[in-house]
Amino acid sequence: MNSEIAKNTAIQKEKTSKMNLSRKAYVIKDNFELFLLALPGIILFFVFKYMPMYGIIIAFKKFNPNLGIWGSKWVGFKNFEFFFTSQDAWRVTRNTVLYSLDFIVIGLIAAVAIALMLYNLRSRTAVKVYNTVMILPKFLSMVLIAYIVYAMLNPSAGLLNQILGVFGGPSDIDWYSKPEAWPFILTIVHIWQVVGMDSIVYYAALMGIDESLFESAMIDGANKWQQTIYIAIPHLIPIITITTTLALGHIFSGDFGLFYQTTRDVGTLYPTTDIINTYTFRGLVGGHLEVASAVGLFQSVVGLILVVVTNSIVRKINPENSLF
Amino acid sequence: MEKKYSIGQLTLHAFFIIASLTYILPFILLISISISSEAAINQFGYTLFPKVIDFRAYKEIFNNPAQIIDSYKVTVIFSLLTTALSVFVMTLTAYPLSRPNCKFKGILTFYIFFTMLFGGGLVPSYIINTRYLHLDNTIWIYVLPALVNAWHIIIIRTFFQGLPEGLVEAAKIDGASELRTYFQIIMPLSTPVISTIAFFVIVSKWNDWNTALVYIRTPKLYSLQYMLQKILRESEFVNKIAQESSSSMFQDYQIPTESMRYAMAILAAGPMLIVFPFFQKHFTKGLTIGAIKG
Amino acid sequence: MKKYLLLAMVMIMMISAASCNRPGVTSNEKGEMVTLKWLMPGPGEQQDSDMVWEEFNKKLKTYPGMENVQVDIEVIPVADYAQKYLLIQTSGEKVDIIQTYKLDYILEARNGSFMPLDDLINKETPDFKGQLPSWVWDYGLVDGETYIVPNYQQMNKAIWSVVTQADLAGQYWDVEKAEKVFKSNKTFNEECYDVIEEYLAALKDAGKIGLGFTGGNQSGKGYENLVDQYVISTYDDHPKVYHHYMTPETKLKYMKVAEWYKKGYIRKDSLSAEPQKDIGKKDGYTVWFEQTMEGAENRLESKYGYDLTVVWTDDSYYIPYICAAGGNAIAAGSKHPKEAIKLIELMNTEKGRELYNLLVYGIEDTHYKKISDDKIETFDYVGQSNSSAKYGLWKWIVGNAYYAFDTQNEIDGWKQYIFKEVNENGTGKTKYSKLIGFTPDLSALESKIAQISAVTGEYGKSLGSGALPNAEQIYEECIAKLNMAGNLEVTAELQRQVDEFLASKK
Repeated sequence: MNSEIAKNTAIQKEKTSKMNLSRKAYVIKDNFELFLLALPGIILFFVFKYMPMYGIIIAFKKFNPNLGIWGSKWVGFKNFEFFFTSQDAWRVTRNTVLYSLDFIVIGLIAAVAIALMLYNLRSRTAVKVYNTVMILPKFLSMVLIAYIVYAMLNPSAGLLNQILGVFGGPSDIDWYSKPEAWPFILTIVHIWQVVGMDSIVYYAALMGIDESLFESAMIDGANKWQQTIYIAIPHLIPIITITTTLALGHIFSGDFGLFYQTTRDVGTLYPTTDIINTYTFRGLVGGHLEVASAVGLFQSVVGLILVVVTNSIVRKINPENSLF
Repeated sequence: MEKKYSIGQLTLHAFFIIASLTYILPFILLISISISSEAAINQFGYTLFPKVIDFRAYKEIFNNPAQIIDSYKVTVIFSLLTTALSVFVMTLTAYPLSRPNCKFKGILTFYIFFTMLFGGGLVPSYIINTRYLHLDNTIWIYVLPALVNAWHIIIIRTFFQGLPEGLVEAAKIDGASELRTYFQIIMPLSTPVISTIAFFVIVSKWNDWNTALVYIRTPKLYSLQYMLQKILRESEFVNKIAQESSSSMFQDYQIPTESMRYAMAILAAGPMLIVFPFFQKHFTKGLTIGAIKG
Repeated sequence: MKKYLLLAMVMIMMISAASCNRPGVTSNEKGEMVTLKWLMPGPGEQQDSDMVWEEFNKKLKTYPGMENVQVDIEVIPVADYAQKYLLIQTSGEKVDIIQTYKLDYILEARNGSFMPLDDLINKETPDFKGQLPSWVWDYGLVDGETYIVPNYQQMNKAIWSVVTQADLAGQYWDVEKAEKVFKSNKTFNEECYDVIEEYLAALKDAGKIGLGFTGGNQSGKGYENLVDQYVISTYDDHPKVYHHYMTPETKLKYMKVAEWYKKGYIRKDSLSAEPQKDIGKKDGYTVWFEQTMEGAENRLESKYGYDLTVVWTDDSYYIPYICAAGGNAIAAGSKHPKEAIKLIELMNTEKGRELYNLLVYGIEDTHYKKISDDKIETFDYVGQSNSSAKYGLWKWIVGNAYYAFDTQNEIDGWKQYIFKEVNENGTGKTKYSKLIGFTPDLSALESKIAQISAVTGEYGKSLGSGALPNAEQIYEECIAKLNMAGNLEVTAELQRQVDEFLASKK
């Protein structure tokens, strides 16, 4: 009897270990195949993104093209002096961060709202039309958009002042001398510009929802609003987490074109519209690659720290939604 | 089944129509300026409907049709090429990242994401691309460096993660390898995300003028946007110089008229808007159910 | 499936598109052929560029010493020139001749990008130095050694004169008095503004103010540009260095426009307006400034289409120490400096005249029509060629503009006037900067200068517009910020270097 049990156990153990072995083999085989799938991408990233990364040291050198990147003189942190000893460093950093946060939050709300609204439209043609129209700004250069804004805000002939006049308000406000108005103006312009494209991502994600979920919810008596909150939005959480985490990586940077062209580079507005990118541009009119590189490095390092921190927080809440 | 024209629907439509106006009106303005005569612009400023129609701006741009045709050709080729190859490579790369059994997905994601924030800048890229890879002044410089984009890959990965586990499980039980699973099951279900990313890529390539500025020396290979930008940059430059003192050098330089600038913008943007609905078609719902049930 | 077909189709198309060579430069034969690569800014490659350059190379062979030489010219769009040059340098591409417009040639020389030229010129082209005035050669000095062959052209500093509609001036302004006031003052001071204000007030009363007044660089009268944002006074024996915002005349300008804005002489939207767009319109500005030379009235009148009154603010010419056009340099690593300097000589002297004009204007009857021995009529453009023209380079980039044909854009005798009367002081009214040949070295103060730059950008436009209600306060704020950014140190250091240079010249 004992030997029977012993033999069976032994056979079981052998089977299990054989299964474990084959399971391990499967894991290795699977991972190998997955690696093969990813290989072209890995190589491309290596060649075009990682190989040039040695250029980061330009931030620490006095760049002389004749000596090349390696041969140029090492100057430590001297290139960082321009930004860090500048009297405006705090102002532009504060502006950059506030605008980035503002754009992330409001941009997200706007894009998701638009995506949900499009999703709820019955008419397929309407969705196509509205979507196409809303991505128009993507094809306009910032210069043209700035011009459109100017047509609205022009102190003498601008549309906005004319409308205000019609409603009995003052009709000759010089918007370009009022820094306090610009956080609002720039937010509106930015959202107008990007919401079309941004909403496409969320809309595509919504496409992946199983229709039957909505059907059963309706049978249970849920109205449209509840369906949205309990089905659609949770489905979007993963993608929202990702896009937000990634956006935080660029928090110390801003869209140069938006802040430079739209404001017509009017100095009186700088207290609320000057960001790191525009400030650096103004200072480095003569070139100075290495200083721009130093500022860029600083922006990237901060961004990296933020993303890593955010990612760890997300991982604690729900590892599936984290970036890595 | 909800009625097509219920109150809710009408509200949505109303919102979108108003929103659309804010997009369409400026665009109409642009078209109007591009076909207005310069004299009318000087007199009346920018008007929604041209006071005097004059196609001179377009005629001037098409003055050298050979150049425009070349640029259109080159741009169409590299845009399509990049889009097709890029979508292919990126979905391939994103798939392992979405598989729970992939042991290296954390590292790989970080490897990819890191490039979003850090880069060496133009100088080392230029050195590598020209001195070692000899891509300069060829059509490949438009294509190869643009094949992978970290943000796009992560979006695709997120989409893959959203697909029901059940599918892959089913395939595994049937004995499919990862490769087969990828090609025969995941890919066909990914049309929405593939279309989305394909559209992002093609727009980005279509608008690309920086690559030509840096790497292309032969006019035959100029991208469309660069060709148009070149003219604009020239005139911006001259305008700036005109404000500096002691420069008589550009005094009578003929700069493109306002209408010409806007004509160029229209020419550049036009094709993409025509192309977009084609991508739009693939944003369809409900493929998933069929796959599970079937 | 469709996608893969498309891919295949596209790849076939792409292969045929990618395999294109640049025609026009024949390959080296027997290794004897010397090919010089010449980099210059301009309108970019044009439709007929290759055709003209082929002709150029053919003609070049007929010149003594150049039988085995051919030139590979590359014209880079001027707006991209500085960046492209940087990339070409870093990638180690071989070039021989580099034109330095919009490049910091002083920095490049100090960095070792260029070859010192004095010995080379003395050996290979000994007559060259005598062909240009010595002060023109001085422009090409960096730390005492010649590094570029400056492009000799119209050199004088612009005279910013007051322009207004002729009919209005006739009615409301004592133009003669104004001209006298302007010319008798060394700088644009209070008296000068007062005489303009009389006119503006009269216009306003008559309801004809239009868009009013817009300024130019009138506050620069009596000063010249030194470095970046610094100017130096030129009206007395002790040149003084200032940040250009801090000269008394600039402050006066800002305070005046603020005052005039309140009085209604300046357009209400001047803060965000782009003056360039409205200058010259018949119902636009009523008082503005233009850079003027002899014949300005005609030129401006034909540009704007109605009668103008131009009031000159100066009757002497000033040759500044900065050579705006730069010059041609030879790359430090060039393997053919002999041939290079010989080519540069041809482009700058009488003996290469025909070749030079071929390169600038193209082929007779294809790109221009000859009207007389020295005058032509260009076909696709008037004045400077641009990227849409079939062919045309800029004469002040290629070489010595004196040898270029006059075009229909120049009034008769223009060239002689500019070169003989003005540049070479035929009239006796030309003053030359004491600083020609001065090459400042501010490398130790780079980050301060960058910070100063950033501050300058913040205030310049707004103060210049006059639209700030508290201009004086803003001005003081600007000065304080400039000083905090290091202005005092930079000014002191520049002054020191200038004084040193002037002392050494005595």
